Amino acid sequence: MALRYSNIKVYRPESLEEALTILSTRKEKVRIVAGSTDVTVMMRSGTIEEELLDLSGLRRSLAYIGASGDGVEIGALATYMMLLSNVLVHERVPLLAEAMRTIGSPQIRNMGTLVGNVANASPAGDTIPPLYVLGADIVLEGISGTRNISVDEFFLGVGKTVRRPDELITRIIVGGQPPGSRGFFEKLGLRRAMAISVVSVAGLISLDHGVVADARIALGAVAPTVIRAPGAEGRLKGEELTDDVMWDAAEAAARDAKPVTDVRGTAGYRRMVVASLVYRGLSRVAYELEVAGID
Amino acid sequence: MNWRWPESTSLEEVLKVHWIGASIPRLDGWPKVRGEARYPTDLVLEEMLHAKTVRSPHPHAKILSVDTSEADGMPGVAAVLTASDIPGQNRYGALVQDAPVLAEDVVRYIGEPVALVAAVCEEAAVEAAEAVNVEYQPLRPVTSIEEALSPGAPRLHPTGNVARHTVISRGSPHSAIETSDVVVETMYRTQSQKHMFLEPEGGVAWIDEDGTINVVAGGQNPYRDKLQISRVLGLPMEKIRVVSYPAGGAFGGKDDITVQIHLALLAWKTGKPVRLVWSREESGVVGYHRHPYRMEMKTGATRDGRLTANLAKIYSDTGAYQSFGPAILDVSIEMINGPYRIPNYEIDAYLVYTDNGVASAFRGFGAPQANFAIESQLNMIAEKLGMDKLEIRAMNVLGPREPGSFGVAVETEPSIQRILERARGRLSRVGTPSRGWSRRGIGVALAMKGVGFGAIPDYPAAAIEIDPDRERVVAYFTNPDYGQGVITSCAQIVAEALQLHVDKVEVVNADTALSPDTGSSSASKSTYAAGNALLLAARNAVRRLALEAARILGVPASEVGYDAGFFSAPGSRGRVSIFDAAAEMASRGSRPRFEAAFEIPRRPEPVEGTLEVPHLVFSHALAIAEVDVDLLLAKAEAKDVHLIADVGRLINPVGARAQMEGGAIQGVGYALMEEQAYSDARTENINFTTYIVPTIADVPDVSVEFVEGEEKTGPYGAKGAGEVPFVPIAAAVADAIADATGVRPTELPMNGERLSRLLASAGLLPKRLSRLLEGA
Repeated sequence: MALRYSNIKVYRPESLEEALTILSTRKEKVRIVAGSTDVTVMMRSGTIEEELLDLSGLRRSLAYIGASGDGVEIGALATYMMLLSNVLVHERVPLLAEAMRTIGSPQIRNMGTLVGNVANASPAGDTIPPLYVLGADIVLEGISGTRNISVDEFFLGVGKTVRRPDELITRIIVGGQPPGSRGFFEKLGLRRAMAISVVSVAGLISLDHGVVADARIALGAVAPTVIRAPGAEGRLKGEELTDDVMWDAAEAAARDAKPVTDVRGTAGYRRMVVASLVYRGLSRVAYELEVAGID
Repeated sequence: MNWRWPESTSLEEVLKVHWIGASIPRLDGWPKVRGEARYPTDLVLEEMLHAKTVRSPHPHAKILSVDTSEADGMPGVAAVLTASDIPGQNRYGALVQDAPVLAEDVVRYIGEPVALVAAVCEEAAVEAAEAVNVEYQPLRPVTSIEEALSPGAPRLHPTGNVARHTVISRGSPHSAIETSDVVVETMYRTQSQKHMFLEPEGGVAWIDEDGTINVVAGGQNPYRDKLQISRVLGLPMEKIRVVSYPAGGAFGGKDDITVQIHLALLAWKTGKPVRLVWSREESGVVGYHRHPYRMEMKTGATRDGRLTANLAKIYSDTGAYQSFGPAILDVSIEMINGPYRIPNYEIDAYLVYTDNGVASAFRGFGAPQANFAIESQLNMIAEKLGMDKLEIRAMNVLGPREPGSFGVAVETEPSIQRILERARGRLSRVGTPSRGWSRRGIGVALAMKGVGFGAIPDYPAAAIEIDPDRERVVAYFTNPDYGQGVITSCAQIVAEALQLHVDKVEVVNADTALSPDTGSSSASKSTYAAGNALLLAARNAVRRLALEAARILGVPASEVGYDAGFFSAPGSRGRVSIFDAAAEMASRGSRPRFEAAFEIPRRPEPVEGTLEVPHLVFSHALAIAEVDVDLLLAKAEAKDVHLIADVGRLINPVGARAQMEGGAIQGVGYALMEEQAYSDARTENINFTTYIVPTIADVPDVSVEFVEGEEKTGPYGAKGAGEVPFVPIAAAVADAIADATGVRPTELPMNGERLSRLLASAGLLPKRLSRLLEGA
């Protein structure tokens, strides 16, 4: 059955309470809309429900960025461009900023929101690998209460999360990059802009006198959800970033990945790219250390 | 500036040149950038119906039944049409009418139209289209050239799966290969490319008070579209009007019929205005695409670099129907020996049916595929012999007026020699700017592209009207301006010819009701064809109006001269403006409108086995590409493209430069990223999300220099600029990759997926990455 645009019912609440009330009654019947950069595409392809919950009336309360502990708190309607223009984001979570710069085009970054990217739950969502390595709490609010879910427990599969149909992600609290740690985000798309990731990699490496004290690596677009790469992380811990160690970690990451063949690439190619990107990211860290003169 | 009328006249001495070579802004530029221009898909008519096409979900199937009863009865539905509703012939096609307008008994590609629905709104049309019940019996699809040619493959047409097979040879190619000092043998594959114009196929149609069907849709040849409509509707030509201006991009993808016949049918059956616009995804599935090729090449040379022989097997996948396939194959045949002196050759060319959509015209028209093969061959021979790549070309290129492979010259003046001379020194890299994993390579390829239809007769006709009331000259021609700039270049040609300010010239473009048939915008010929016809029409205008001026001046016509918009005669007082002369003519009831037809020079008979080989006029371009190859990511990025081109005299240099830049950018997309992949005759990359074209961030620095030759048969010396810049890009990029890495890509596009496997097979990828790629 074709979707008739004229049949679409749009709710446009003016307060969070109103939004949560609508959600509590309409539940899975209603699609939540923030920047609409994904929803518009879904409407064109006819894969969308016939009710929309437009959050634009809540900008005053949800389009914000604030400090939270040593990290940042990001409201549901904060766009990529707001985040990229925010000094807290650059100081505390530069890795996240690096990832957001690669998303879409200026037009997409003006409209799209980080929370929307998370809620959409694509394994190729470019903000998600950084959230995995930085650590983040997703705050879900419903009329019956609020719960915080750690990012690594939030995603269940492609487009699937633990969010209940009556809940709204109102904010995400992201951990700051620890002092002395170095982050990287590497992405391969099929072109330099407006490109969905074939593979993306985020890494956060904490070093102590040149030795890796902690390593977190997350991989995008190579499994039904973004995943951590425990094999790669294990290979790095306690080691110096020598070429051998970096290659071992890269290869381990590729083996941690579970890619599929689709319109953007074959599984074998994706696996190779995981290793390329992890090696490249780690090389950047090693190079930065060398330049900084830290031994 | 040195220029001529198409044939010399006594007026020649007194004319002055002002507008040729002037980079005036596009005449259609302001309305387009302001958003005021109304494209066919923008048009909304009163009481307009909205149409939708019922399409086959199968790549190959028998139609058992079509039941429209449910759709017929739905609210708001005005018409549901099937094959049985077609009054005339249920076939169309630019060259051969082999494609059903609406499928009868068999469908041969996914998306093939089976029925048409028109309803009061788009949503009702969509619902009614879904309610048309078509019962299919799926048949085994033919999914590749190899499968089409294999024994036991399903036959897609009564004649089999080979739409055409042509063998052309000269000398003793096989023995010449055997005795050659070096032989390079390679198989090349090129992909399906989509046009991805911003305005998808679409338009509107309505019936006049006098019963004429008006069709306004983006197209490239309004008169041929009109002819095809008349055949299908069984109506005389004068009952049909086609307008194809402005179109939001075409690139060849709107050259054959898209929506025009369907629109006319629906308007005729319902008597109401109708709008039919393909969605981006429909355009992605059923819009035309560039023919994928498989080319097996064996090319020989002597030790000192002289080409001895070329053996070429060419297979072209035309999809379900022929469209322009045979003519495109002709161009490939004509290009497969390049502009080179090759005494022995054998070209064995096949046009093959598959269920992979319908392939058709696309910028370059068979030249890019052949160029990728022959230029790569030449570069490999140069490498084998340790020769300079420009030197081997200079040694083998045909001289001016020297008969080439098909008995005619590829140039009348030393155009390619000048281009090669300009390129000298540009191929020597200044060191190797390679950092980390990145390797810089530089590559070269030389291209030519025929202007016009070669041996196929083509008589473009145009008209000029001198409007005395508004003091304007109106130029009428039908080659649609779909962005390439033919309106502006032709206005400049008319202004030049009449020595008037270009502001005095207006253009009426691509309207069969108002203009004689100037032919298509295709084959790099719109300025050449329309410009020549308008020049002749302008000459007729001046000659005819000189009689009026003589009458006013009271002198014999033989004494009247024309200069900068005025007629005068020696010894006679005063002068008469061209508009006053036109007023004089109009005052006696004659319309001051002057038509003329130009005959595009051609050889009377085509080379045996072809439709259009040979061409007589060629544009030339050499591309030098610099590419960075990242050996860690197995990724190639074009960083710089330099084009040296001879497209004849430049009418509008900025416009010509834009053609060069656009061609280079689209060529880089073809070389590195664009591909409509078919798997089991299905394609998934059907919109801008999944079909990857270059963004501005992917565009290399493009620089252009022109070697301005003068084409004796062209309007003010112009040839054609639309296609030639596209043609050499893929071979030049491949050569740059070979220069950077030592391995040469032979399949397009050279994306990460292909490049990683190529680099791995040559041991250039880090070992650990190769293992992962192979799944070890």
